[in-house]
Amino acid sequence: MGVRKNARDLTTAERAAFVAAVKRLKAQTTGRNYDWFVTTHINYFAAVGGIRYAHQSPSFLPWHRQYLIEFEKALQAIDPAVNVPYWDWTTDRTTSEVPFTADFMGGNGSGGNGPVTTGPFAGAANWRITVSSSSSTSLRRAMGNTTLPTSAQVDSVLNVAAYDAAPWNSSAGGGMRNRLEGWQTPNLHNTVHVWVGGHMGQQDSPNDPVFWLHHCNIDRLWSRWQNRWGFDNGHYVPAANTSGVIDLNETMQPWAGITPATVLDHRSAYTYA
Amino acid sequence: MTPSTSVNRRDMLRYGAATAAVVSGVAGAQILATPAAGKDPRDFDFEYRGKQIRGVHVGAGEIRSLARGRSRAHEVWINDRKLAVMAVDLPGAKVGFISAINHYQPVLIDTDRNRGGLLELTKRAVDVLGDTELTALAGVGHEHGS
Repeated sequence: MGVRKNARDLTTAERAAFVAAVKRLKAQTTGRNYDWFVTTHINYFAAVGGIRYAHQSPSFLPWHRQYLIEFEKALQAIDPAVNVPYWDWTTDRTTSEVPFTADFMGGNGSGGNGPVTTGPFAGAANWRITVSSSSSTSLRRAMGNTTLPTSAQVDSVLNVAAYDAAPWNSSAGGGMRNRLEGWQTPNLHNTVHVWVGGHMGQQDSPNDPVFWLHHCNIDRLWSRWQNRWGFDNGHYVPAANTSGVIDLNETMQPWAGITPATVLDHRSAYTYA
Repeated sequence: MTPSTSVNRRDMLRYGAATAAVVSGVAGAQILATPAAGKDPRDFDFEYRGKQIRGVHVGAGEIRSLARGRSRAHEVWINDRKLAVMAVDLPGAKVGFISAINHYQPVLIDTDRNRGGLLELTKRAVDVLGDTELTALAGVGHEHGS
């Protein structure tokens, strides 16, 4: 069973192992390589065949949970000791400290919105962007365009008892999911994409490896919510018969055989430290 | 889906008001440029930070609910490269728009107070692009398989 740690608690060796595995996945030329993950995120941003699997819907959280599991499996095929770490942006809130250090994710873009100049992902020779809506071949960031969510805002979201609410999309006024995803205030997930900026603000946001640390934290927050309210099937809605939306026992493309119900209780597969 | 219905109704009201303004302006036609037939007064085409930006608004009733799996959204080009724009239903019966470049930060467009929303969205994309350009991927519509 894997233990996903806070990025600030990784050892130097663990940071190096994570970076090395990510780079080897990027260099892989066949199968589910790094750019396959980027492309999949783009393809599933909105409705596919009339169903919103990955965003603006109740399955935002279980879809990304499986997405992280698949990514982690791909890394572990390279180095079995690697787990995806999380970035707790309620405590690590600067552009130059964890996780944006020169031995891990690297820092801000030059001039505030240009290419990243420090760390293992700086420059196209080290980390070439190939699937993107902008022509930059180097990873870009434009950090600090907004304010990162606070722990008080996180607590306010985790205090919402209902998982989600009708109409089950980005306009849902009630429920925890849309507040956590961020189309409803206080907006946790979307705000962090905007705060990092550059590629993280684009549809091809997984081009920035910090994407995985951010989504690992989002998954951890959902796990905290589940720990308080329940990991059981009763704590995912809708249960059934809702068109255009993934119900509890419906398959989440492109993950064969994976439904929200199959990923709700993650504790036998991985835990958070 | 009530949100899109109410927005479309609001659009109808707004378009109705715009038509009335044009008609009443006929008397002062010398000072009021008459828009080309079918052209939305919010459309734009000019240079911003070294890039040519062009925006075309779709008419009332053409914006469909995201919940129905498809939306004909407004259209934007930056240096003649298309930037896909996607409608996002928001709480409070509002509709925001995101682009392939600003994907997590909806801009309100279709209300009177936010008439300049598409231009705002376009400028934000140019600010992000800096010295780079859109790729073909940026112009691919979001509503896959619909």
